[in-house]
Amino acid sequence: MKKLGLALLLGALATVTVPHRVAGWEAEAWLEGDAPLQDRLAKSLRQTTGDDLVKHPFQTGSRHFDSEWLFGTYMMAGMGYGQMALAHPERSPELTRDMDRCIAGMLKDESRYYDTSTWGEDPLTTLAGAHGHVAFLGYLNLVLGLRRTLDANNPYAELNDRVSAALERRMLSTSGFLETFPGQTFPVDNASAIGSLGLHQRATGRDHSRVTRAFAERVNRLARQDDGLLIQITTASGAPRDVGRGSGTFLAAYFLSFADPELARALFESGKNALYTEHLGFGAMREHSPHRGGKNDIDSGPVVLGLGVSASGFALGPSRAFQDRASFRGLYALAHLFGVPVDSDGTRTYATGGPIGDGILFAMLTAAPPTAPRATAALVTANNLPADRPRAAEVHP
Amino acid sequence: MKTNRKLELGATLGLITLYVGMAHVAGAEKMAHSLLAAGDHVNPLLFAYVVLLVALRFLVVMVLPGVIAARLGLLLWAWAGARGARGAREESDGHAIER
Repeated sequence: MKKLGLALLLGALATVTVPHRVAGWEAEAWLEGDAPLQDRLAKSLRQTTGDDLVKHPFQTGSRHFDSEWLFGTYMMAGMGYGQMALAHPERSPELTRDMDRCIAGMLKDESRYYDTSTWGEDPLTTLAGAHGHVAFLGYLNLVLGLRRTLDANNPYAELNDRVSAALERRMLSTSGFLETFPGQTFPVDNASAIGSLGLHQRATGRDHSRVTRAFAERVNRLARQDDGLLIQITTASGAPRDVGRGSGTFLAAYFLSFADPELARALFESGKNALYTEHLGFGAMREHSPHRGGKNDIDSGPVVLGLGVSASGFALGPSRAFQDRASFRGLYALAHLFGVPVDSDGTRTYATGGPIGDGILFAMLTAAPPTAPRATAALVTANNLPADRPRAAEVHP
Repeated sequence: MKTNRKLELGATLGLITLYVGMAHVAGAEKMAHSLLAAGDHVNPLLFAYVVLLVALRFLVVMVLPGVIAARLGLLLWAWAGARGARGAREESDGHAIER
């Protein structure tokens, strides 16, 4: 009996102290921007965005999602390369070539298909129009803006100017949010547009602070529930059609770190306070607040026991950007455990994530500390929501 | 070394080797990509491979440290017990000689 007790005690002690340290042993290196470690993912994604995605295209059963994931893989990889170039300027020539390959990939017809087929018009040939197209244009423009901050006269500079002008004009023409697809409005996609304008402002000095401030005011007034989470879906005028969710909140926090650090931090802190949970040293984000619940979909990724794969993965970005070391370590340990990393010939791939998983982790694990573009400021912060404003807590499906 | 200890050591090393080997094959063959690219025709063997890989990783990272710690603790306990018994026996032999 004593032997059994001793065995159980030692087993429990080892389980509590060892696994999360084994799985999370690289977390500090990622936080510190360890170049050789970043390079492994960069090299792997160089192969992926080179020809792997052409030879082995996604076939999810839906051409829409095949296209969206293709676009998303190029986009996230492009952000990772850009952030890496910002952190290691001496590597900029090589990494901007990688970015250009990703941008070219995003501009392919197959990558645009999800947006073009849904709107019935091409997002880039209709920049003078009024339709939102924000899930394509916002995300594309983030990579274009990051590319611009590295080289003001790069081959995509003129496209960056045109897309930025269109997004700003459309954002200012609505009192709510731009539509992602006809009849579907996702504030997180609008956050990508705002983030891209922040990068454009940083690179060119052109002032987008008016639209950035207006967006912060709208988000805080219309699209945050009382715990501060970002409402996932609204109407175009901003009326909630879903609850606040982890995946959207953390991805928006990452995007907004390029334009409005104060709002980005407020979203991250609210999300962390409402959704972060840690067991045996492994951290995870819930997709929904435990007090509200809600439905899962392709944006949430797999949700196991309420814990969201997308929410946890996207939260790595702002936790690194804001140097929240404790939550980063916990989240990284979990991603490392279930991502099944494989290092081979100087490359790193996460065996369970596929190309889009590698791309997302590359972008999030290299997320840069936020720097506010000149003359921008959020109006209010999450933890100081104005008491007299109406709260977007009620859902109107 | 006793046979059962050899078996335990062999099983532990075998588990780790199996996991590392399977992970490298999965990485080299880009199995997750293949799954995403398979559409409605997911190869059940490929799917089972990835599930087994995750289960093995869970065993190696989460379970094995506890098992190894418990086993080492029991070995230490047995060693300390044997040493104590030997000491007691030597002491009692010494008393017998003195008598």
